[in-house]
Amino acid sequence: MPPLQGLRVLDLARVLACPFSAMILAELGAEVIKVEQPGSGDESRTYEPVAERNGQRDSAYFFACNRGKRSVTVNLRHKDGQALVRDLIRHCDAVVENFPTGTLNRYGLDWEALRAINPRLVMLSCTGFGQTGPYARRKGYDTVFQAMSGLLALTGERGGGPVKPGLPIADLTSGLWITIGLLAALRGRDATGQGAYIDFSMLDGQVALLTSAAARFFALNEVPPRLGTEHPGRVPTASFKCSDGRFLHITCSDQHWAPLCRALGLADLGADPALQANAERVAQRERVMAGITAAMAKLTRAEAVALLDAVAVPNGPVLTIDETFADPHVQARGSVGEFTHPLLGAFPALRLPYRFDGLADPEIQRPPLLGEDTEAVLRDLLRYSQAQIETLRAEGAI
Amino acid sequence: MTDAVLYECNDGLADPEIQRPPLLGEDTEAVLRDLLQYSPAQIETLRAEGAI
Repeated sequence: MPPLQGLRVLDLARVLACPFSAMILAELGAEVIKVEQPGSGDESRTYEPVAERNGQRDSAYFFACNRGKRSVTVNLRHKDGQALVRDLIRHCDAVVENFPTGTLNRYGLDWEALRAINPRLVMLSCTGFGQTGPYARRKGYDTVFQAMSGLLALTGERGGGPVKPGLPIADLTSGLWITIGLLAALRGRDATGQGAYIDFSMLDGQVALLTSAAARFFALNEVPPRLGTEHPGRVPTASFKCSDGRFLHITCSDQHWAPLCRALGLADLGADPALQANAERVAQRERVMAGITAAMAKLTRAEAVALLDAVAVPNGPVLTIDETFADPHVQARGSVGEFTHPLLGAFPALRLPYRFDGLADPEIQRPPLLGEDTEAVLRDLLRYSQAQIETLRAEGAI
Repeated sequence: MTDAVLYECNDGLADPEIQRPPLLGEDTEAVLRDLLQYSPAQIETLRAEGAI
């Protein structure tokens, strides 16, 4: 049995963070009903990159965060559409939304309205800055929260400007926070019998991830400088350029220092009593880094990996994503699979990173076509008659 | 100084509160005694043997 079988979630959200969370819940076995605007749907259905197969086109961006869901089109500006969502709420355990603060009040779909309909409901509102505070009405996207949380300022080369990570990490980690919050609230709901509302802010989510950087500030009053791939408190930990132009990342604790030096032919460094402890190497960072940088430059990446693996020094080649997907371990773990899209056919997808024993493993499912499940959900779940459905359609409510 | 509260469950469930990390082994005796119902003699034996 999938772990979340029997759970029904209403996905009133768009674009990335909340849809990513709802997709995780879906592939863990929840029934996720995604409510989309008739005609256009989630705006990410138009986002690039576009996949083209069999003469058909669709957004691979949308695919990435919406697999396993049912799509129901509802016009939230239409009073009958709003009533339809309230009907759906009666049948749902949780709802996730990311409208600007106050929008759902105008639709009669705010927490107070929905909890009156379903007292066991868990509702999560995801906004940029939360429902309260001086920035509550401000809007933002992933990079805004990266910037305002300090993450951008922490990231980049020594002496250079801030650098954005290669992924929308604020959106994606928000999706994980949202999933944790929903599951925690559902667990609490099961204990108390009462639903709950969760005000989640993407900026809060990023601030909460500062962890080790915050620890340096709290303990040392230090604002960590940008150090590229180096670590502020551990030396040597960095990516080094090899003779073939490829990079190898090494991370080294005290027990790895002597084997590392032996493997790289750095006998003097390895034997120096003043470099045996990490704190000493941090104090002599430039000397250590210069020695290892010079040694690595004489080896191809494959040679360096072989040498360091032989002495159990943690290392990882800095791979491009095509190399990652081709990696034999990634392939053996089945991290990449595929779904069959009704129009495009087979298309690759990333599996959820869980391998269950005792519960069914998550399986890659396909994303829905826009409104693909509208009629089935209204007919089978809400027991609307065919005439009701036709009326809603004629009125533009679905 | 405190971090911002990440989730505000202002209805139905208590908000998460910042808690403190444990001292090393701070709860060994309490867990063995209260959860596992080990006797003081058992706990002392385990300690003397270097098992805890």
